[in-house]
Amino acid sequence: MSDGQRLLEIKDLRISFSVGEDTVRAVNGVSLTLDRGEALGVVGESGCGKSVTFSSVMGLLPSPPAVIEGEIVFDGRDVTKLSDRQMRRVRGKDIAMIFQEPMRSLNPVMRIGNQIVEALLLHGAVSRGQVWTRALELLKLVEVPDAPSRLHCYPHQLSGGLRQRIMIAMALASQPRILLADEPTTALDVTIQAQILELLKRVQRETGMSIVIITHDLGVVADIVDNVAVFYAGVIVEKADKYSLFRSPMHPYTIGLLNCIPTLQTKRKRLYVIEGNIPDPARLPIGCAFSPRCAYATERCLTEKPETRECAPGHFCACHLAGQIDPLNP
Amino acid sequence: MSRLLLAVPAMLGVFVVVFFVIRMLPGDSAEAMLGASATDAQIETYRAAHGLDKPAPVQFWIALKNLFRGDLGDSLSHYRPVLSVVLERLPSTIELAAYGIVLGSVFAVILGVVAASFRGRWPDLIITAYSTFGMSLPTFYIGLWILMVFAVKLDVIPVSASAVEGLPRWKTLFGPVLTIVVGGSLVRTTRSAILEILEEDFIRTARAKGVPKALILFRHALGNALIPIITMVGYGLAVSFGGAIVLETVFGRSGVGKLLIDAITVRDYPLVQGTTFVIALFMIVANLLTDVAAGFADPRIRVAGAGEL
Ligand SMILES: Nc1ncnc2c1ncn2[C@@H]1O[C@H](COP(=O)(O)OP(=O)(O)O)[C@@H](O)[C@H]1O
Ligand SMILES: [Mg+2]
Repeated sequence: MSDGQRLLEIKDLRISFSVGEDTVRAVNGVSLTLDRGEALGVVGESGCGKSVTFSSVMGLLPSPPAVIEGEIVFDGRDVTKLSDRQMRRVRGKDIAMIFQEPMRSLNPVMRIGNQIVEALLLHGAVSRGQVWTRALELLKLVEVPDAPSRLHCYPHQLSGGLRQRIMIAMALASQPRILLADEPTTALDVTIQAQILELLKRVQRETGMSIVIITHDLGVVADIVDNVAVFYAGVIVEKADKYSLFRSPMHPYTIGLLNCIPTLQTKRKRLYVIEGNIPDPARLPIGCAFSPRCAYATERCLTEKPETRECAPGHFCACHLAGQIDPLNP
Repeated sequence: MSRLLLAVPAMLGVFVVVFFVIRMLPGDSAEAMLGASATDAQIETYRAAHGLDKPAPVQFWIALKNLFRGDLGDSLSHYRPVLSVVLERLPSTIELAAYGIVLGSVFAVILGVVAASFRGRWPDLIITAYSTFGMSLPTFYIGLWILMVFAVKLDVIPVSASAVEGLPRWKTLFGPVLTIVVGGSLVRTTRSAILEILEEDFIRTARAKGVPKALILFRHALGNALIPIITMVGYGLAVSFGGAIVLETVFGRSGVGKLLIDAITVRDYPLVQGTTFVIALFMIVANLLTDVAAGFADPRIRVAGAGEL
């Protein structure tokens, strides 16, 4: 991967929040790159810092209370150093984001059309005279049936799936280079989930933009991403292209996650669940954050944080035991 | 619709309460009208002529029958039908209340939005302190201060508006409207509504789109906050109207409020009855109008059908 391909580079990102006496360490040294046209899946249990990480890429974290360290380099500039005004020109224009709750993510008192047009006009994507034509095109692009009449609707008149399509249309308004999708289908019915993912995949292919799909359900995105980063307690414990990750996962947590996905082979067995809960981000263990739940944990795991190593070409893992565990027999 | 049905017993309730309460005040119309020098015979004649000699329940029955015929009786002090006296004064009060509500709301809403956007910092602290202070002072007290400053010290408005002929309209409105504006009763409602809405997911969407802060506040947050704000204006209507009544007396504007106070002073029973009746009716209509306005602010409660797909 040459640097010319690189669109976004997160370097040793650390994010904490002061909550009363405690310091909530939500992100603890995340490094990540995203190339042009790459589709990255970000997986991990709820509360392990996925949303916080990518909200900070958008400059959406209010600081204070958030304390952000490290670099987020987009297009040669560290966005953590940008002023509010400069950041506003990146948000929505170069990097767009959609969220988990389509039901609550649209302004309930504004017509759909006006919300899309607002996005179009903000960054001067099209001239005033053409906004409505373009808004209609966007609705057709995201396959909203009956598009012309939907422009006049209010959000409450549409289903969750349609609202997520509207969110996608709005995000695409200024042809962003990166689309961050934070659990875009979690709140939707299973059949609608598949349609929305299919749509994301199609627009990504057609526009050539990069896309980050955040999810807590690896099975959901396996089809549409190229690479997968596995988050645990604010760090990336494993990152690889999806084939290596699915074929030869190295981190015990990833192995656990993969065993949670129902497949034909596991059908007869009881579904595997990872015992225990993620650690409280205000009281992280000294050693590996996963060690309290890990069946393989050694003395070393409890006292020493594992470094991220490239254990196979392009396959990164932060585990002292990487490569020593048989994924098929956990 | 149910609101409209509820209006009937509410109006009747007002009618009954007012009828008996004014008769509990010491003295009656005859004594107040004829003065201290009147003889007993004169007073008896007056009472008989105006039906005041009959027992209260009988008087009530007659008044009620007349009411259902649309007849509010004749004023004892104005010597003509109550309705025409009240209707003559009503526009002036509506004008005052309307200016007060509109300008007061606009001012309060702007302050509330500014306070919310500076949450916890000095502009917020100053605005919150100011509105708490303004709301804790009685209307007439603020009114008297404004009278002191603008009429006595600066001499831009007269001390009593009705005492001066041919006064430009703004001069009669300035004092009372300023009093309502200064009272700032909607500031805190607006502030808390905006703060709550700023936490909503769609605000995050707007920020993610790159919408500038001022537009987030005034387009997205205020657009949604209008729903609770209008509802509060509705609840506050009775207070605004009450305020207008007090302010007419303070600033010497001849409106329904001053009419009512004067009618009570001279024990003009039919006029008191008629004035309160019209005020109550007006308030019910105003409440219905706020419901309609709230409906316009919130597409979710707008009559279904038209845009439903
Ligand atoms: N504004 C905030 N203040 C304090 N803690 C926060 C805040 N936002 C997120 N957190 C904490 O950061 C951690 C990571 O949250 P998040 O990134 O939302 O997880 P997820 O991986 O489910 O998206 C959680 O423990 C959450 O409680
Ligand atoms: Mg999340």
